[in-house]
Amino acid sequence: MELIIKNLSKTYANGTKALNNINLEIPTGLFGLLGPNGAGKSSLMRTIATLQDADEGSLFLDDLDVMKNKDEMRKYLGYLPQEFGVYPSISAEDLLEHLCVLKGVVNSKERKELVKVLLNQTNLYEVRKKNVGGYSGGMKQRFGIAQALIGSPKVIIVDEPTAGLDPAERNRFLNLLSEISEQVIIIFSTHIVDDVKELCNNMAVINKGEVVAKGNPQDLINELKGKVFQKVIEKYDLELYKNSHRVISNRLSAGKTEIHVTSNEVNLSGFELISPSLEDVYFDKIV
Amino acid sequence: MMLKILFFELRYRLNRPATYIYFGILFFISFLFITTDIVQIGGSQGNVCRNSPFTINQAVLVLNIFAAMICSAIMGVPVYRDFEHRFHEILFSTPISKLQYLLGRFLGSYLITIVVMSGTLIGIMVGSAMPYLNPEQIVPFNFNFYWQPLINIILPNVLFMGAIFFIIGALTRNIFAIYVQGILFLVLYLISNTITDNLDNQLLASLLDPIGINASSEITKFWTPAQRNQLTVPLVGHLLYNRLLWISIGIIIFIVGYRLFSFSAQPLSFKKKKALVQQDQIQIQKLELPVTRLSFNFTSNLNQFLHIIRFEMKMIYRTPIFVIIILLAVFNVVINITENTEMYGISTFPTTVKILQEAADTFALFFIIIITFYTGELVWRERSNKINQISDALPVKNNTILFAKLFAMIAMVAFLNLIVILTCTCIQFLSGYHYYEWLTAFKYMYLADFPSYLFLIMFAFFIHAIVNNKFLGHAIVILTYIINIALDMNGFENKIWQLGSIPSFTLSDMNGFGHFLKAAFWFQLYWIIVGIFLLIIATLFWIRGTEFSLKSRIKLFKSRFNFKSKLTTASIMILAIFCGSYIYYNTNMLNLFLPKNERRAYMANFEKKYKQYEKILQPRVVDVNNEVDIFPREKRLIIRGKWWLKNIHNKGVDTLILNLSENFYTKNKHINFGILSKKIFANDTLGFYLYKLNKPLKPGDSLQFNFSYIIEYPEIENEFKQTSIVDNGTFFNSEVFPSFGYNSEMEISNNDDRKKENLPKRKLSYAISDSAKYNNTYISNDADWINFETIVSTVENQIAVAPGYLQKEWKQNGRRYFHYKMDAPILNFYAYLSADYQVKKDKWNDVNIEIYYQKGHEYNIDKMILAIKHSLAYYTKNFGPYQHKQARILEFPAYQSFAQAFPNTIPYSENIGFILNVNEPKAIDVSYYVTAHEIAHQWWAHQVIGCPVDGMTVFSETMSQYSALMVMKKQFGKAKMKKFLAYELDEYLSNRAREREKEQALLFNQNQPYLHYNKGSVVMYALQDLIGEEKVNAAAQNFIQKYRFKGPPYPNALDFYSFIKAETPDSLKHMVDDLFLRITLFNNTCKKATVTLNKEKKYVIDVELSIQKFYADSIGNEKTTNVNDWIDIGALDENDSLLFSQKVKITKNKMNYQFVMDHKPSKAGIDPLNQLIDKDGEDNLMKLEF
Repeated sequence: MELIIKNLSKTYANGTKALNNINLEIPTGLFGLLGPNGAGKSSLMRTIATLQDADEGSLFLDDLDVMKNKDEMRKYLGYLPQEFGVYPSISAEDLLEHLCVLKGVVNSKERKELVKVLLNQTNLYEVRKKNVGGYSGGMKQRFGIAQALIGSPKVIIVDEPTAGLDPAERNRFLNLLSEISEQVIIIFSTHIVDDVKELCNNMAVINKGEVVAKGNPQDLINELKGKVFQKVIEKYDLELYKNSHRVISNRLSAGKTEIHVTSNEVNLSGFELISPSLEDVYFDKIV
Repeated sequence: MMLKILFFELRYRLNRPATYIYFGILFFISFLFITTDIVQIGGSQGNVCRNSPFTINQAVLVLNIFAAMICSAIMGVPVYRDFEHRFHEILFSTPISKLQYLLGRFLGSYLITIVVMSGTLIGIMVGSAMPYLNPEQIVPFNFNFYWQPLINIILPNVLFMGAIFFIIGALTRNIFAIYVQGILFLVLYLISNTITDNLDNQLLASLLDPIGINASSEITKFWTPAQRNQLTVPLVGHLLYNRLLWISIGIIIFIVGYRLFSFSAQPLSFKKKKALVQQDQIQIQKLELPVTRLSFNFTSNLNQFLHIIRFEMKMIYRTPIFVIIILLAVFNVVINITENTEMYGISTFPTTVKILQEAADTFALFFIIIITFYTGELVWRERSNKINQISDALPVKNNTILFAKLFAMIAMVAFLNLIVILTCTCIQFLSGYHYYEWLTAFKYMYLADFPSYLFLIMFAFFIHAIVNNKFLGHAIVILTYIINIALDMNGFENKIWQLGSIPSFTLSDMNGFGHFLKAAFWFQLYWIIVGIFLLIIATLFWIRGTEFSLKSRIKLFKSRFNFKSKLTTASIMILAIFCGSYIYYNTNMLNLFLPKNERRAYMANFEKKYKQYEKILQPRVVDVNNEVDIFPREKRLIIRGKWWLKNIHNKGVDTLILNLSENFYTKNKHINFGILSKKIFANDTLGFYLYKLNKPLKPGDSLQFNFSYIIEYPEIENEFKQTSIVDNGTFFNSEVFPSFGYNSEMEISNNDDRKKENLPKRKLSYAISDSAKYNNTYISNDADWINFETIVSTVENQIAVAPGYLQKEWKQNGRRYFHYKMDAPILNFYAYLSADYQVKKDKWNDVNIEIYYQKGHEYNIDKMILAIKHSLAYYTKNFGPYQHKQARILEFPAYQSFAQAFPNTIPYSENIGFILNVNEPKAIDVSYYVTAHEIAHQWWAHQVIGCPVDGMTVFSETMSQYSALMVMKKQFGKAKMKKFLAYELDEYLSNRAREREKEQALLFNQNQPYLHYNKGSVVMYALQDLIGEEKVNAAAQNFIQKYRFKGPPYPNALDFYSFIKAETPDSLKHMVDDLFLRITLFNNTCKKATVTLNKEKKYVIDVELSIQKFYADSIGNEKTTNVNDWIDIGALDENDSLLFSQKVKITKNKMNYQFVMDHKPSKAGIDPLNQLIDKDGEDNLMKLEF
């Protein structure tokens, strides 16, 4: 199974070019979508999730033309949007059942069983009678993943699922994703590089609506081997270095500034060659 | 600091377009109100100018109710806004105090609201200055006229409403609460109004109304047009208390709110929020989900459809506002029905048809609110709750969602209909009325009432799907209701243009649904088809996903508008056009359809063209012999007549002017005069014909007039006006028969309308000196006293009745025939009735009494018979013999609410008398009263009748009132009469204030009901009290004796008055003149009353009185005049029964008086029984302290 995105472009009414000729082939497994805020990740995901149309290009799930058969695509889809709300005063159980019906699980016995399992898996069973509106961020996010799993979807799209979760919860959440990723396509977007490094076989970096890098994380790291250098400098020298080198990132470290630069030269005087991380790949692509 | 916040608020508001829009709305409405007739808000009429201070006051009050929504939109949000924009975090860290903050925000938005509300005043001000207005209808600009309502109404009202809205907004910080509180206020206000309307206590009613309408109208109720044009409403009395009360309440609310408001991020909540315990573990051993089948076939669609309906309904029922609105609606219905009175404080029995229709009408406003509001909520539910991205990505079809939501709304409205039915049943049960008609109730609610709501739902769905902005959507839906009204008033009167409009009809207990439901069906069908059409458009525009731009929506529409949906749309459209055309064919081709303007022109045309024939002498109808076949189901009459016409003039007659008023619906017409004649002119539209006789009819000669035609009415009408020929309860009068001469009844009577058509002003009746008019009675131009005979047939299960005595009854061809013949001469004025009647018979001396009534309506029949007997006894004794040997009362359906006296035959609406509940001991027995009045007409109108000059109804209507009063006085006693007369006086005083033309003295009244009935009662009662009942009766008897069945020429009011004056002693003549010849008013007050016991253990009472007397002119300018009258001074006991009364000649404006009495009094003062026309009868008596 493969999701093939070809030449996808989208310009919003206000003139923003959200997607610019996107080409991606997404196989089963976890697929990470990296990019800064406003890069077009959500636009891309909403397009895959049939919530909006592209101006140009095509989107195929194997043989299925997604843009022309939205209802068909929706049958195979599980979608957790970046932000979502719930109906007022409704319990998790009721809401999940409601979504199950809309998903097509009309057999009530099966549905009840499914809701029970989903709530158990996301460990919401204890609070299933409680108002979803009163859930904490993490619980609500787990509810979100529970609903995205209804009907064993083949394509699961999760948009920034770890934003707002504490580290422990984030770990567990990612584990859950990797657990289910064996048979299905999971596309998840994030701007946290570590998430991708830990879990994904495939990834893409998007910036300003364009794919700037794609492939296996390790391959991408390998490509950058021998090209990333590091140096600790005074803070006020940063501008100077930016003018003379390709500075991909800088961070404060013990009162000084540590910068990473990329260069094709074998040796860069005053710099220390380091083995690149995925973060370097990411920053290298979006500079 | 507070000022800074205040200015911040002002600046913010002044930068918002909404502020200007609100101002503009109010400005525009009141501008239109002053300059056009499109907007009607407690408007001016007749002699009251368009911009009179009274009208301005009224307009400001009414707009204040609806401006509650605007007030809530401005005053509810300031604090919420700070929280929504997270500005509070910054704000609360500044050194500002809570008071400064709240007061600053409050005053800022208060000032803005005042400015916005002043839009009303400025709109009126600018409107009044428009040069194209008729200067007669405009009073010159006076600053006080605008200043006063601003001070009296706008400032206090905005303070009170604003305080509530502001505090609720600040405490809840919930946009939903802010969003509904305006509506809720409105609903609550309307309900409280129903309650206060029914309060007997004026003070309470005035105080409890926060807007001040009651208090204001208490002051202006009896103001005459002249006063309304000059005076501003003074801030005194109850109005002042009212204003002070609600200002204080506003301030208290603000203070309480200030106390409760906490300067923290948490809104006020009475529920303790329990934080859910974090359940952090996702324990995934192995994620194994059960195998579930997703199905996407018809059954699963249906399952989804039903599920969403249930889900949506649950969502609706869960909102507390829903329950509140329903409870309020039910409460409103209960109040309305239980407090509603038909006449003289009497209500009808709660029959299903009566209260159900009332309940449905009361509920209608709530239906509209609920439909408007919840349709928006439903369409927006997913997006409002931000769950749309999840739900829109689910594989459920658009149509499934849309139609399920639609049906959830429909199911809810159906449920509300059930609530209406249950409410009515409960009312019936609790009032001990156990005749439930479930079938009728369900049929009415679901077949008659429901379809228009069905359309409304579909329409609101359509708007919300298209507009894609919830608030704008609501605004457009509401605007449509207004546009509908405007359409109706501006030439688009056909219901097919007015969205969702279905002709309404009255349910009758006699005739049930009649043919009306069947006819309304076509309109229902039409609107449902149109609704389906709109729904299809809605599906094409239905938003799914996250794209809302116009471009993408049009793209979406194009992609969805495929061949299949094109075909569906087209075929639905064709169906709608077909159905609309069928309706149009019926309403405009088969019916005489005349929009208001055309009707005016049509009638003006008649007058302009044919007035020239008014003076052509016509023969008189002397002998009428009619054959009438009534076909109730077919709405058809077959009419054949053989009449004799006689030339009673001293000149020959050669031209006959023939009118057929129902000509549009007439066919198979045959007209033939016994001698050779030629039709020389015909206007078939107006039913106006001229015939030339080959040989003139010589004076004293007669000719035979033979005619036959068929009248048939179509069932489908734009408005159900044809209610005379119905399935059960047919009632029509002589108007369907031919008449002769120019018919001045066709002329436009409203002088404003006449002006628009360039016709000269027309008085309601001719001058009393116009002797040329003495030759006709005021009800007919072409006959005097006639002989009458008729054969009438109807369907087999009905009885048909016409004036006269039954000669023969037979059956033929499945129809029933009745032959009636009159033995005494009658006016050319008769009626035919046919219904499935029960008959109750009785006898008084040799007069047969018969009541024809609907089975089940036995309640008051015995009372009616008793009233007939008492009346016949009193009238024959005091006025002269009864000319007939029979008196009959016949019930007809509730389409009209009156009783009318024809010769020996009195048709009587079911609502009046038959289903009135007159059993309560305190009630005035209206069925007795009406019967006595109608029987009196057998003398007053059917023995003596006036000519069409001023005062024509004095010795028909006023004398019938007098006759009934005397019979009632004998039967019920004086205490009940006081109650009855109080109603009459109140009616007189409030109706004279609304007079459009000129108020006349009673003797010269121009057929104005409030004069000849209401003032007539008061005057005649005072007269018999002044000169004695037997003197009045002597005058009446002498008058009747002189003019009985005489004429032409016919007597006029002065002829009658001379008989009254003949019986009046000279010392009282000036007082009788005050009663009849002038508009005389008193304002009598008891200033002080004390009681002491004297040595003989008798009560000595001292009263200090103030007496004022006025003469008013025809538009209500009053002039004080000297008092020189005999007025009662007396005392009542605690049951308001008269204990003591003495007529005292009063000549001064102030006087003290002492009298002694045996029994212990409770109140004392002047005119204790309110027999004078007193502008304020409440202060005549003072309570005595012991």
